[in-house]
Amino acid sequence: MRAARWWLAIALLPLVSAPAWAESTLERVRRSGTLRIGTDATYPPLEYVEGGRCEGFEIDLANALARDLGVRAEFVNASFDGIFPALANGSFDAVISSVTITPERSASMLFSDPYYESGQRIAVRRSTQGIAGPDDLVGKRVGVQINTTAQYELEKRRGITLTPYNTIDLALLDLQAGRIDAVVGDAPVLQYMIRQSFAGLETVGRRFTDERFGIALARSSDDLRRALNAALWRIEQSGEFDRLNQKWFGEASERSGEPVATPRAFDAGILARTWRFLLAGVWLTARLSLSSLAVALPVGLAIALARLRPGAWLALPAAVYVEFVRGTPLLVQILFIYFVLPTFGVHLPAFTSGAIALSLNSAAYTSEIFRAGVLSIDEGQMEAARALGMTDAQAMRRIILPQTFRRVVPPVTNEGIALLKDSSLVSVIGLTELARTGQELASRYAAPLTIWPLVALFYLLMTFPLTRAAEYLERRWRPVTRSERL
Amino acid sequence: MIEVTDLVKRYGTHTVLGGASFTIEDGQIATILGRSGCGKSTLLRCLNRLEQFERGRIGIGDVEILGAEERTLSRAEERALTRRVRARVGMVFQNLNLFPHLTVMENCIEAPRVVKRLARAEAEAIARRYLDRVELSDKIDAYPAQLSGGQQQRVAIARALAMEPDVMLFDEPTSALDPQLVDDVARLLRDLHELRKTLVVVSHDLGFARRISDRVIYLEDGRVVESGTVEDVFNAPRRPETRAFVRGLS
Repeated sequence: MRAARWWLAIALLPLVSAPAWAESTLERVRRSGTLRIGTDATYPPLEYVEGGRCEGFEIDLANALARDLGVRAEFVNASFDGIFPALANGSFDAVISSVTITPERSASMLFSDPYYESGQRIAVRRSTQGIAGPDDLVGKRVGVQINTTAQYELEKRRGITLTPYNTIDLALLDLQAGRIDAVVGDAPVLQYMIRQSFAGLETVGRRFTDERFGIALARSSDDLRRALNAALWRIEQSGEFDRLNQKWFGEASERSGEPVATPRAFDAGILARTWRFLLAGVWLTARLSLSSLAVALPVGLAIALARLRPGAWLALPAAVYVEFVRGTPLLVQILFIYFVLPTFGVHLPAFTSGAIALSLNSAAYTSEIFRAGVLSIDEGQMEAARALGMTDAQAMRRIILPQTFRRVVPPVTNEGIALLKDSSLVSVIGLTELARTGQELASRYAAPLTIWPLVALFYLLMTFPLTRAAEYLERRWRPVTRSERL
Repeated sequence: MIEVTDLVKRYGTHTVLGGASFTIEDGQIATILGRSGCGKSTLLRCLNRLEQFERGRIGIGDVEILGAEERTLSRAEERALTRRVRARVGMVFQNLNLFPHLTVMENCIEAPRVVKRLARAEAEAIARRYLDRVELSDKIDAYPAQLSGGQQQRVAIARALAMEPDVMLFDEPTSALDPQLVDDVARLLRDLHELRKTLVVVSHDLGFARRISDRVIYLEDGRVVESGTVEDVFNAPRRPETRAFVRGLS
């Protein structure tokens, strides 16, 4: 199924292979008593977040496997982009996240025996006639989740107009709105979401692909793979596997969500259930952005000053730094700091890694704001200060920079707001900031129309004080103008 | 005494000053005259080391500056030389370059505090003395943008004086002023004479030069072609070109 930004994981893999001298994965799991599992919990009923905790069929299965091995399962909820590099560099022991076993993936990682059979199904509006299988999709507009096996499968067939969506709930929403004719996705997820909140939709026909999910492991974890296979076999023999199947996919399943009568727009009941998690997301986003900005401003100023000094040996590396940071995607920088640095022995927690990546990125942009600000000050100011006997450093500190700061308040405010919103990218390394919280809640409640406006509102509430602070500074520092003659 | 000997200044292949020489006695007011582009502003900037020059010598009291081709200075030597020159020579720029984010008083105490490390009270006492002298005591809390052009010029003069230099350089002090204000500036400069400062003024205003100067230096194409008292240069110029200039503009 899902393989979002697969190229990124592939590109980073050679950089993050675990060193040969490390203890084996199974030894580490036994010694520490924890099995660390990476998952992208936005895929109910297989894995999703409920009340701040991971839930779902695969979560229960992972807990059962850990119990069988005599250890505790610890879940790290991260977006699909970030899971595989983290697996390769040893941040997780295993990935259980509806990963279809494919030949390409088998080349770069190990898989357990398959534990679940899935396949693609078609969802349509109840009023639609004449769509019962993939052959009927020719000439239709079909929604899929981006980079999934659904997309790959349909691309092989001619005559279908594909529309890829970031998450499956958005595709269903568009189907309900009538902009597309059908949605193709993993059968259990489609069924769950339709039951949950798309009363006007239904699944039709049979699964038309056979896909098998496996537990993904790093290439060096063969011993853990064998232990997990044995545990899977024992769980199946004991009947526990059937019980889980019944619990999550049986006809009488309560967990599949209560059906609702009408498609919902804004739902106040969901707000009551989710505001605490949204606030937790706000808090993380705010801490992350403010601490990053607090580092980015002085570092940006230092870079600007290094570049402004003619002939200083630091000017060249500073210029290279700015070029490099501005020329590469922030997402790659975040992944690099979190996943690649550990191979050089630098192990940083996710928050620190995210804050460092955001700071260093923003510093490159703020340095250009400061540099432009300094260059905008009339040369005569520097000359006057020097003629009075000040050194260049004194003139910079006492005359040029105070005037620069007044001028750069508006662009620096811009940069601060951009940083706040860019901080959503750290979800790839498992930080549940506001946007990620929104993603989890929107898929859990299949209510994007309620959750995303709320997320937007909370972002607005965070940028507002920033804008006000900037207005205050501008008023206080306003260069005195002619109109105020004494 | 200011002694300038065979000063050569080039920008690339363009020679701005081609061997200028003159002397100015302590306490004199000297005016450097000449058409625009003759090198007079560059010459002024050489006197306080805002510009370096290739050859020749400038002596200001016991401070000696030599051309870059004659003596190469290390960074530390250059810094030490610049410090000594600037301690002795103050400058009032053509467009003043007041610090717009500082009040009149702050403009005048910034350099004394930063460069001479004076305490605020001491720096303010000195600044007040010079602000009194330029009749701006009632404007000390104003910002430059709140003042008229003439007042701004007097702030620039007080700011330079607050560093207590021996020599004051003025670049085109009358260029931006109304005719009646030119009288005020002339009076102010004569007044600085009482402080026993040596003044070097760049101007193309002959009437102004005639009224204030003890000595006139006429520059053409980077060379001093006339040098002497006001009477010498204005009434009995040695060269026909100078005569035309003096007649044409006065």
